[in-house]
Amino acid sequence: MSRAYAVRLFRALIVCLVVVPAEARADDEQPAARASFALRARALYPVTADQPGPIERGMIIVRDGKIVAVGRDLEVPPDLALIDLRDATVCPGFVSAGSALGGRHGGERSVSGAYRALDFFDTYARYDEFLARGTTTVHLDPGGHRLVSGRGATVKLAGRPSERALEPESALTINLGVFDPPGVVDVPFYASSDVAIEPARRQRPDSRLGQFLELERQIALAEAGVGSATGMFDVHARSFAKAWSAKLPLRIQVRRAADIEGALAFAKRHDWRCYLIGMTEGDELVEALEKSGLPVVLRLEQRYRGADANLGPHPDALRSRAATAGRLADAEGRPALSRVALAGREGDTREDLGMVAALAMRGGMPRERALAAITRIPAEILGVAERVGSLAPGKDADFLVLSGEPLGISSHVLQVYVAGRRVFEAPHTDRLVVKAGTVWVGDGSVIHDGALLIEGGKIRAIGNRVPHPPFARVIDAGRHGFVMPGFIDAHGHLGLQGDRTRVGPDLPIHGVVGVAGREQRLVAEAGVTTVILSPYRVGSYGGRMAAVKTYGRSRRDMLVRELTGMKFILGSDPLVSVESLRKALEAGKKYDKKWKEYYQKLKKWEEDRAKGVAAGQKPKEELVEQEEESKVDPITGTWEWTVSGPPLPEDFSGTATLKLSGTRIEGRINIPQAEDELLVEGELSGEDVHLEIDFETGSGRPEIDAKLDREDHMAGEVKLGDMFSVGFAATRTDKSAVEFKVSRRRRRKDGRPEPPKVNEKLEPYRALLAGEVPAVVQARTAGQIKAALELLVDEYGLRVVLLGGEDSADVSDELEKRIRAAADGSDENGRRGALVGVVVPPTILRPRDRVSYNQAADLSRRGIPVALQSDAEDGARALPLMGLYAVQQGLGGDAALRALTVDAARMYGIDDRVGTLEVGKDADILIYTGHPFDAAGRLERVIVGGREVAELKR
Amino acid sequence: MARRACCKTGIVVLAGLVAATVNGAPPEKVALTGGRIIPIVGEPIEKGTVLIERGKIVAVGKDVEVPYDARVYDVSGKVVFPGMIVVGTARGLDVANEARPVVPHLNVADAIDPSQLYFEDCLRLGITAVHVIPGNNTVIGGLGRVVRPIGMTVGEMTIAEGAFLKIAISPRLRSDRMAQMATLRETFLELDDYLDKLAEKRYEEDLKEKDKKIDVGPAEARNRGRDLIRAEDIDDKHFNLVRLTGGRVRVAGEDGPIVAKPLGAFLYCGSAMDVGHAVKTASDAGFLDRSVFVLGGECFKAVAELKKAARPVVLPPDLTHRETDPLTGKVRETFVPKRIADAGLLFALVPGPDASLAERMPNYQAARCVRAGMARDVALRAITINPAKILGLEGRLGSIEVGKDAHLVIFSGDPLDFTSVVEQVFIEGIPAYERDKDFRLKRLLSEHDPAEK
Repeated sequence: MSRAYAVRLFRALIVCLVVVPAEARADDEQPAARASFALRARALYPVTADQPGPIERGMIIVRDGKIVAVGRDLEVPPDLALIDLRDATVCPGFVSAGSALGGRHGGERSVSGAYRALDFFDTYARYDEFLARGTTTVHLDPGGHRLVSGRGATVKLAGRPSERALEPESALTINLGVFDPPGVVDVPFYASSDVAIEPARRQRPDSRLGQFLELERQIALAEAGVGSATGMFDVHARSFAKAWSAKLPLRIQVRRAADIEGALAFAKRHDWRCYLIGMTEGDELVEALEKSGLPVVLRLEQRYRGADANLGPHPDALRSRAATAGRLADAEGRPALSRVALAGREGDTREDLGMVAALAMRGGMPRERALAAITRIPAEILGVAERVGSLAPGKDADFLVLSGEPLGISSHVLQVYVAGRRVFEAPHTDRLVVKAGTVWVGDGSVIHDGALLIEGGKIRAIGNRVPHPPFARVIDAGRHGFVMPGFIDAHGHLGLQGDRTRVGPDLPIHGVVGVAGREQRLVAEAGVTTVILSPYRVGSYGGRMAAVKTYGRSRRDMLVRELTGMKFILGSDPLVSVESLRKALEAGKKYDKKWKEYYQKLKKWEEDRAKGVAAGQKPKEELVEQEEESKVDPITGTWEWTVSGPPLPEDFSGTATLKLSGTRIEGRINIPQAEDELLVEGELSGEDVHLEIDFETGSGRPEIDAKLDREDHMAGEVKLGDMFSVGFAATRTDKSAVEFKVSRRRRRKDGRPEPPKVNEKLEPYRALLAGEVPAVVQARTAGQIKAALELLVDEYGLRVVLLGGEDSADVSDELEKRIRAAADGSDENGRRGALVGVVVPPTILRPRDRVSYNQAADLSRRGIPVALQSDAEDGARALPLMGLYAVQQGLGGDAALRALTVDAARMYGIDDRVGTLEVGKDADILIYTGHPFDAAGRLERVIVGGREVAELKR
Repeated sequence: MARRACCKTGIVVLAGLVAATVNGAPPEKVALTGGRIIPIVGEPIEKGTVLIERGKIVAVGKDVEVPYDARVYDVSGKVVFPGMIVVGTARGLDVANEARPVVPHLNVADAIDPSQLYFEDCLRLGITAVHVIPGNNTVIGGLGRVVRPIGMTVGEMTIAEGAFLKIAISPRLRSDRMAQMATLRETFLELDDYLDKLAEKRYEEDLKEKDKKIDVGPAEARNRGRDLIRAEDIDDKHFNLVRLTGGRVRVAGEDGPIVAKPLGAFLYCGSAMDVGHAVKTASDAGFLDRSVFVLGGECFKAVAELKKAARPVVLPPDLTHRETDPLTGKVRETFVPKRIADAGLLFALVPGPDASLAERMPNYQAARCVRAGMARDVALRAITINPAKILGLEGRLGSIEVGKDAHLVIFSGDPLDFTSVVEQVFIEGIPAYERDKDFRLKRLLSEHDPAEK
């Protein structure tokens, strides 16, 4: 194992330990919930009378919970942090003028001013469900069940408990069309035989006529000053009189046309500040309402959540129509009533103002007015417009952060701010919706106005309309947005840090993958999301290639495949190098054969056993033999060794710690010149000790052969291949380090075949020979290319990727033929050897026959799959530019996209994970403005495995 | 019916048996020697002696000379602890509340049943003083009373007359907060109205006595009549309300003479939102400085308001508050006493319902606090001296100090140790309970086989 590699592994480990928590922190860390900040959103809806919105990239500046500025391109004061919400929109918190949060009081009096809705309000409760639907301010009503039910209040649903009440007494509630209140029983104190208990006193109103009679009677009493100390003490009448004389605004709840007419007449008689709420039949009286100038809160009472939609025979069961909203808001093109607010059904504890506005829009209310009707207008009607309902300087910073436009049916509330403090945060979800004008799928199709749903790092849906799960984030790339799969570097060295050691096929190159460091980050930011990681130099047995991502939270996230190809380099002399390659393949084949035989035997054994069981034989038990190691063994302990003799100029010595288990020796050896210890392993047979030092030199590993010549002493020699040997002697200095251990070893006695010994070096050949991974052959000349194809494809039946292939033009006909044969090659023996593509050299344009030649363009025109490579480490970030250059020099834009995505993925057999935007594939997505290979195409965002590579530096 | 009567007779007989052992005047001199004394006020004393004379503690310490004529109890190896105090409960009444909402004229003295098994249980648990007060299902519930769990009549049991009315801010059953608050406001408005009219009436009566004719309008009549109101003029319905508002007659917005002893209030707040209403109600009517807040589970959220009011609080018996987030389903737990103690409020722990085996022991409640990180002495005070202070009886109860009433509990071990049991109880020097003679406990512990009978 090379030292540099070991160092890299170690470094990767450190990066894992240090970087991961830091990254996790960075992700968790939210902009602090301070009451002073600047905020920018994709679109801002101030919903003021003269500025309804939206302001694209609009900003809002908040100080101490109050808005100080709203607009575009505002200067951020130096002491304030800027929260930049690229994907979200901001609008005022919704104001509900008809909320059911107040409940209804339990008193039986038909007319009373004694009940205050504020008493009902829990200032400490968390109203997260309301906030999640966008409602931040509500009117509390003492109930719609009595002619005069009490005093209402207007409150915020979040913020400090002491600051929640906006208006403790905002209105006196009158309900028309509510008849037959219960009788009143006055139980006398100390009831006795001479104090009779009177029967229940009946109350008004019991008819439509009676309701105004009763109202006027109570008003007359109030104006005459009832409840003064002279009369009977009546808290209800007294508090009604108090509220009336305090000129509290009147809130008149009416539903039927007849009552609305009565209410208008009543309002005219008393010329009071008042508003109407309910208005189910309001569309029949548009003109009268218009003339009165009264503000109106329209309740849209359609039921859409359940099956209880039957009207039934009840005379007061009115059919609520969405069209009423349109009529009230819009009389033949001009606004009819200037102030129409919207509210949900009376008593609806799950009132959803967004849905109410959607109903109104379906009934013909313009979108802009519908938004105002659940924000600014109700705030004006409730008399709290100075504080809430719109975003303007001086008002409270109560606003919503939405995933889409305010009245979009799939928009969700992501955050809610009240008085500049974030009081609601949508539950965290990894769901993400990406929308764009063009979605380049990669399978040859393009979706216009398309969208993708990403969940758990995978693409879950793709199409024109995809589901928007609750609280999903939405990235809207706009009409000019171009969404495509992430780029693939078909041959790169990211993370090798210049280590050009020649490696063998036993080196697990994916081991360098740690967690995205700076280099990886640079590459990811350029849009290259997958790199086929290859060693620079390989020996004659080739080297492993791995597919890795450039961005991810963990190793597991980043590793696409541990083994995705075998890299071979053909030397300058095709004859010699082909021969050594054949030798390697032969060894691999032999090894593969051993395993195949083993599997066959195993299969047969299993079948036999199954047959035996079927025939009633008892399968032989698996026996477990237990071996206890001798407590004193001749090896285990600390040894002091000396190496001496020519050609060494002088002796040198060191220590070693060895351990014997069975006949196997393991341990560490300390060489004074080396910085750290090396592993040794070997075997003890009789008195012969054979040790191998785990240190790769140019010509194999050093080996020690020694004999235990007497107790605690061995002597022999150290050899390095056939080149070099010196004398070796060692003495055991310490036996106290001996560990005793009882080992249990399974020894099968049931005839099960023993598997062959695993040879890491030849292990990748099994996948190669099975056609699971391609052989990636670096070949330059026509001769090399031909020789390689003949050997690998024709002789061994492998899938082959040509790496470089600079002179491919000389054999292009043959390449074309082979590609075509592979394309329609149906073979009875399953997968047959084939040329699957060419990874062209990074130098896109080379002189050939004294003219510039674009190999990629040429091959691509001939229908040969092409992929681009960086042949570099963080230099891979230039790959998209390479593609751009190739396009400028004649490669088709679409072909360049294919070369950088789907074709590369198919060559390496990783197209089940990356390369296209299809359901089930990894969510590695690039968002461009314009086509990536247009001159002005600009990479806006990169998403790898469903996680966005944070803000690109442009 | 016959069986019930039989049962009742049995109870009376049993109560009689218990009473027989405790009845009569306290022994002249009693000495408890050799025990570990936890006096609450001051450091514990190992192998100390408590000397009692005529029901009062006259000496506490290591080197107390025991008079020759004292009855000596050797409590070596045991712990001498002050009798624990239940700061407020509706147990001991036949029903917790009257059906009508506003009944300030009621007094628990009329309803305490000395034969209730509850009082016997109190002895078993080491509780020597109980503040019996109407329950929470009310608006203004009536007057409480502090009693000891021994005695044949309410008079015998009484430690102190009631000084608190029960007022509930949280709505009673089948009511709502709007109605509850409206009724409360109505009560005090009606009181003002009543006193105004009473002043007028008194002025008229006064004139009549002097054979004069009415010479002024109603407003002036009220002013003149204000000082003429005497305690006996106020009817039952309003008398305790006048005491609650300070015992002073207030007519037409001006204070008149003090006619009665002021009362305080136990304000029941079931949830945090009630605390604000409670403070406002109490300060508007002028009894905030005589108020005690009886808290429900989530009231710790209003700790800022409670701190501002700076009045004692009674904690909910369920010391842990659990809350589930409606969107994520996450459950959050809060240990309430810690939050209240951190705010520096005077607080008392109350035992839980009888149905629970452990929480009905005040010392178990204190042990839970210690387990949750509260200092040991803070937790112990919350079941002894704090309730005494809240009830205004710290001069008589709540600790082992010279001069105080001899309410003592002999534990077999440390009071916070769950294996400790109450061995003996002394109330004003009277040996009120002995575990060895606890017939019912013995039956429970199956020392007598019930099948034998």
